Amino acid sequence: MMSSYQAGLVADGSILLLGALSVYVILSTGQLSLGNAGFMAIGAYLSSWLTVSAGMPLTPAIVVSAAVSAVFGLIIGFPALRLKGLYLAMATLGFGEMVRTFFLNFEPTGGAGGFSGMEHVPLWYILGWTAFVLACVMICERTRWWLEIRAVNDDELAAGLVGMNTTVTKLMAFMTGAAIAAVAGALLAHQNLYIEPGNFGFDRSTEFVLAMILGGSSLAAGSIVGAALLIMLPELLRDFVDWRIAIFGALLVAVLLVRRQGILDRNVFGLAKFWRRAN
Amino acid sequence: MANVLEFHDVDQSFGGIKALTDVSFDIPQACITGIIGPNGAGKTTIFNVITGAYRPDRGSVRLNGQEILGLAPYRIARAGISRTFQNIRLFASMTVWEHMLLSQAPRTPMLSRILPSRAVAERGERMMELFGISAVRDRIAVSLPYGVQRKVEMARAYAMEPKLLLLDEPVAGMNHDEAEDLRQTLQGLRDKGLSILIIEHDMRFMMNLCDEMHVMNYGRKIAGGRPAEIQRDPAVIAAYLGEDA
Repeated sequence: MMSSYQAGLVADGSILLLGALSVYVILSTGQLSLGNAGFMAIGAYLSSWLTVSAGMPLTPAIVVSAAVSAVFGLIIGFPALRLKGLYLAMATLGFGEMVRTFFLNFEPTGGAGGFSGMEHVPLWYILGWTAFVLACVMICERTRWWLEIRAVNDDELAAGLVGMNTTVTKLMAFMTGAAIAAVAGALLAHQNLYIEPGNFGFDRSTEFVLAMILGGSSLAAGSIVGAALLIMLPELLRDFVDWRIAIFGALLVAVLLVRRQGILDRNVFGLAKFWRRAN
Repeated sequence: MANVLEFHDVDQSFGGIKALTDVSFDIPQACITGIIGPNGAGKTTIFNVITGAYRPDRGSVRLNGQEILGLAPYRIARAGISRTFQNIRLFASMTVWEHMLLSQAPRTPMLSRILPSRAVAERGERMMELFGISAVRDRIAVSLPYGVQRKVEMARAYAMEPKLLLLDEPVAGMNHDEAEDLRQTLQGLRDKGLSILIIEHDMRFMMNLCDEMHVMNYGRKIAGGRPAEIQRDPAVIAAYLGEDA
């Protein structure tokens, strides 16, 4: 039987995995979002308000929050169409901070005092959502729609000339990412039972990006490895108390120097395919 | 004979530089039409106008009678014009096979892009066979030799089921035998009803390939007609060999 401490780690890992996936979907079109904690905050606050104040059951509350967050993704996605690279990263960062500041000053959801009253969800519920979202993303990865997403990243102009409306593709990626981040937020709120604006700061957004890049940014499975590592490493390095953040940072730099594409990449799976064919 | 594309009275300037001046030509259905001319004559500019990358100052471009000037590039592509590039533009992360699948996706409804389709797979296989690239189907396309990449680009363009195929210097980087194979492939496609517009420097290749040719120089069209007529045209000879020739 898992101790509640271990169960907490698994829950945190699952939520981190969802956050990493939310960045992954957007990054697959070549857009780096540093503001996904903002979408997560929308999901956390809205779902909590729906379950606590409006008396809605949790599952529909999560679905509604994800849909509303997707609409925000669409709104953010439009200006993002005109921005690339660093400038887009800055704009999404600004959005994340904007959402955090909004909830800091928005009294109906507790403002700086935070919001509570949610009912605790069992671990299997969090795992169920994570497995569902992960399966959806991994199935999508095998479709022609995903090839379009990759095409936008590879060469947007050529993508247009094979008949792709790249605007729609990019916006859909933003909406999908925003919805996934909202699910992560809703689960976090109903796992921690208390949320405050500080939960959804810039460090949260970077943690998502970190998990995804560390694990491998060219496939969803990379985010699993990245999220697991990010959760486990600080625990494994517990003996080095004062130094563990420094060791963690050094490991990260080392991985990125040796394998810029992250721990996993498409070739890992390509090799497996080759192996099967050879036998 | 019906024209698949009518390119009429087009002026295109960039700042003070006139890249195209009053250029007009028609592309007949099921023919291979060539555009030749020295470097900087405006050949690729014509492609960029047809595919919607540039907005000309004046003129009209009609595909099967419908005006396409001013449409977004992806709409022009979906209307039935696909192209290849002089400096190859393949998708860096994709295998040859993925190129074949992707190029068929945008014209189909969303749901069918998520479900696997046998029709799409079969067409993809046919495209690779047609251009002789089946053997490299699982290789990352940009890791292949230059000449093979050109074939992948052509297969990608043809997989879109175009009404008009634009080829920008397709034999650059190919040896004589490969070019000869390509000539036969393209003429085979023409015989099946495809219309092709092609830019190429290799004169002998063009003379053997094209049904009609247009000659550009300094952004103007200086001649047009059958290859044999073009070869004797004094304006063409002057442009290629200098005024004194």
